[in-house]
Amino acid sequence: MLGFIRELERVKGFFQLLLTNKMGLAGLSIFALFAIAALFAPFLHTVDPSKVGTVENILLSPCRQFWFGTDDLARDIWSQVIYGSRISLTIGFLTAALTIFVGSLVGLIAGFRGGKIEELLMRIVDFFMMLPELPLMIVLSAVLGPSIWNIIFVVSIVSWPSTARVIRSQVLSLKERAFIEASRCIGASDSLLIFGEIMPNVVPLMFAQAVLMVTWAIYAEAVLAFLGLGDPLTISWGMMLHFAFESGVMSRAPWWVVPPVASIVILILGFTFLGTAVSDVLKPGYRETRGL
Amino acid sequence: MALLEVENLKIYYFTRAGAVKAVDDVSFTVDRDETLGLIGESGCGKTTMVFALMRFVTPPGRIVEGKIIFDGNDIIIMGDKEMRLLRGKGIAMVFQSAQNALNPVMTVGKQIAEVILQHEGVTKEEAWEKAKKQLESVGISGERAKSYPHEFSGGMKQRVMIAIATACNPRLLILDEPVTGLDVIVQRQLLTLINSLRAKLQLPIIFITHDLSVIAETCDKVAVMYAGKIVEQASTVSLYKNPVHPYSQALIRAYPSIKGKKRELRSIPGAPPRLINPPSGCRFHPRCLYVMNICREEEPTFREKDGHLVACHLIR
Amino acid sequence: MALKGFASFAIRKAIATIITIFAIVCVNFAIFRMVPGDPIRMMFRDPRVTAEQMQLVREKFGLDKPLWGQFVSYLRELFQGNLGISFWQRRPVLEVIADRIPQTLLLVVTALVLAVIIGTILGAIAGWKSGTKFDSFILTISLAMYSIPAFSLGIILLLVFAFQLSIFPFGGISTPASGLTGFGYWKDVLWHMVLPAIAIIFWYIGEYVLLTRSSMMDVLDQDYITTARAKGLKESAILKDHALRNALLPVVTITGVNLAFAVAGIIEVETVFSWPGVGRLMYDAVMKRDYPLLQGTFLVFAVAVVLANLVVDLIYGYIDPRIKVGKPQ
Repeated sequence: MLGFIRELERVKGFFQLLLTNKMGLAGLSIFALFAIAALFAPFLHTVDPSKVGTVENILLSPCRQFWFGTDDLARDIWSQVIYGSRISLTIGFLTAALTIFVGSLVGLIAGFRGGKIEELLMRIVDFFMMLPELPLMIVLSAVLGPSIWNIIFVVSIVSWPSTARVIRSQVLSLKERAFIEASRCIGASDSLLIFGEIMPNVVPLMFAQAVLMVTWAIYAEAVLAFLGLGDPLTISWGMMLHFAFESGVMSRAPWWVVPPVASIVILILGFTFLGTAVSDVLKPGYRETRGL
Repeated sequence: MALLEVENLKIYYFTRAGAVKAVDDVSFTVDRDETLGLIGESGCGKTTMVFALMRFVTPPGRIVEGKIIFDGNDIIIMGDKEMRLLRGKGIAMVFQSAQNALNPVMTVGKQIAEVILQHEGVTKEEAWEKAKKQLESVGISGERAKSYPHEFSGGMKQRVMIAIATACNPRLLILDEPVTGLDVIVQRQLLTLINSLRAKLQLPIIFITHDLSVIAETCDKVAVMYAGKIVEQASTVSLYKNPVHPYSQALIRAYPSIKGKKRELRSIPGAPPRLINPPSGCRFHPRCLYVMNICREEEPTFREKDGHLVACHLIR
Repeated sequence: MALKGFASFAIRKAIATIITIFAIVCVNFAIFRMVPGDPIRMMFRDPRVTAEQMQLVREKFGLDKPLWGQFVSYLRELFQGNLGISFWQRRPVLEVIADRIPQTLLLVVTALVLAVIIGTILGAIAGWKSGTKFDSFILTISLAMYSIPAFSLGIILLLVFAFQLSIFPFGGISTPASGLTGFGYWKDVLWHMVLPAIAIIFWYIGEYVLLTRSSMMDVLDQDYITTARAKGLKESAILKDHALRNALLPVVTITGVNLAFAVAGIIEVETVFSWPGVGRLMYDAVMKRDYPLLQGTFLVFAVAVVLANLVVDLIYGYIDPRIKVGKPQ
């Protein structure tokens, strides 16, 4: 119990440090912005984003009623952007969670067990990493059919290997460290070692990887949607761009294109900054170099 | 005039937490034909000090005060270009036997030829020939000049470092823990090499180590450093026979010997102080067996006893 | 003796490549045969197609044979260079793809070469001068460049420079029906290539700057840099002979890994700019549900990446003496 409280204190301290880092602050702010949009979507001057409107309202430029104008089916672009943040963040986090879960599991087992199991797992990992990501995602999406769950699955399948590799190499370097040998000498069992000694040192890395994965997942969903492989039941930012691109009137309606592009770019930037900040803060000796 | 005169040298590292007094008012000299051993625990400031001799102290470290007079010129106030010309030619240095002290993608011969080309106006071919001769002088076949560092063992890599350092006939050679971390047989070979080079080239040497036996083999005189200060200077023989400062006594006593009577091994209680906030007065007083009141208040200056220079209140 | 290390290294890598290619072929087969539901039904969603017609197609594509039989004929055809027939273009898939390869190569090679040169130079300088304002500036810019997806950038470039400002063309590789030949034609192509190339380059420059910078910073921490300084060498010599040569080694390695990402850039940018390459082909295949073509393009991309990785590995093996010369005797 005490150990748990201690860990909570460490987590709190970590976030405090993160906030002092400029990039961390920027990243968290951006994330907060979009999180608010996602959470409070219905209260932000929005309507149903997929609701087709009337003919007079087609391709309106930004005005009082439609803050970002309308698309070629008279749907409100502002609403699409706001509700799109729900999709991006949801897919981002769910994919990251799945990827981290599978990747860490494989990495931990491979690193800790070693031997033939490690070799086999690593060969699979190496092979997957050789395959080009976007073509593989495209092919899998085309074959499985477009839906949110398929997208999450497809993106995870493509990203878990790199997490596995990172976690495994961390486990390997931890294994070498003396305290593992020392613990074994006093009779610690394997699972005790994994949860008591290795995990606390691996969890920060998992967190850093998670942020990376969210960034990647947001991008992946946007690309797939842009290429027409998004979930047709929802309108994500990528889908907006797909519609705009396919409509043939993109040149005449910049208000249709700029908001989704800006949203994608800003959100990805935010998580990239966050990722950089997290990996900096987690480096040993970070506190000292800031003189804290 | 001595070859090297260090006077009241102070080197501090300015961190956000405070100033770390790594080297605090250190003075010593090295004459033209002697070998000075510098001994002390890890973190006592010996490496910082010799880095200052090459003017390698970078921020947040700074030479705060003092003079380093080499052959009549103060290194500290020398111009950048002058200092660069001095490195490798006037003063040369061999580092601790680290794995990475040699550039992995450059042949060993080229790394020796480099320093020759830098300081002596010879052609590339001449420099290459000289490089091969340098390898021979440290006991490596000249054929191996075309080999890469990863093809050599740890001991041989140190030989190469020595070959590089002596390539331009420096007037002073600094060896920073050159045999630490190597196995005993290799240590012996290297020390023999160093001694023969010393004799052949008439080379004054500053030898840094924490190993008493190594100093005994190679050095004429010794300076004992503790917590950024020199506490005793004496000839090697005299120090070992009759250490005066309590720290030196403890060091010598802590070293086991095969010969002589059986006695209890005594280690020094406590730990070296953190140099951000060193102890008041004599820095050794928290660990000293003979501590007196004055030791806590006043820093001892150098006094003479039996031919040793000692900074201790016990004397006179 | 000098090349012995390299020879064994090269052979090992070549064998690994062959195995990987075979694995890719298997995966390619598996993906398209393990479609949930009937692949034929997916291809022909039109309810007017009768059951007999679907059965005919099934037989024609050998989809009524057991899975193992299908796999064997798939391999056999692959060896003969037969990647199937494109539904949409009614031509052999191999032909369709082969037509498009030169355009993709033109775009990719140009963009990559430029990006690598600019990126590594900027990154090396930033790493050498780490801690300065210049370095912070480069770092932030590179992070931003690295984060913008190629298709987003492409769309914005298209909007601003092609539609609004009318400086560059809307897309394609050349002005249709222009009748230009020779030098004039190539100038036209070059003009069309500017925007798509920029869209690809952006991410790459960001990546290479970040990489070279951090590699340079790692190298500068190494002991052999201090040794070089202790020799009294000039700063420029230290940078060139000691720092740069070591800093660039990891950059070469990463180029291999990056190639997979280059493919993504190609697909995105070719789609946005209607550049007639293999990337755009993949998009069209998806839109038109042309499964043989989709399968073919995937295979081509995957194998291309693996082969390119082999080339990069071999280059690296040659320039790193620790591999070229091998372990000591």
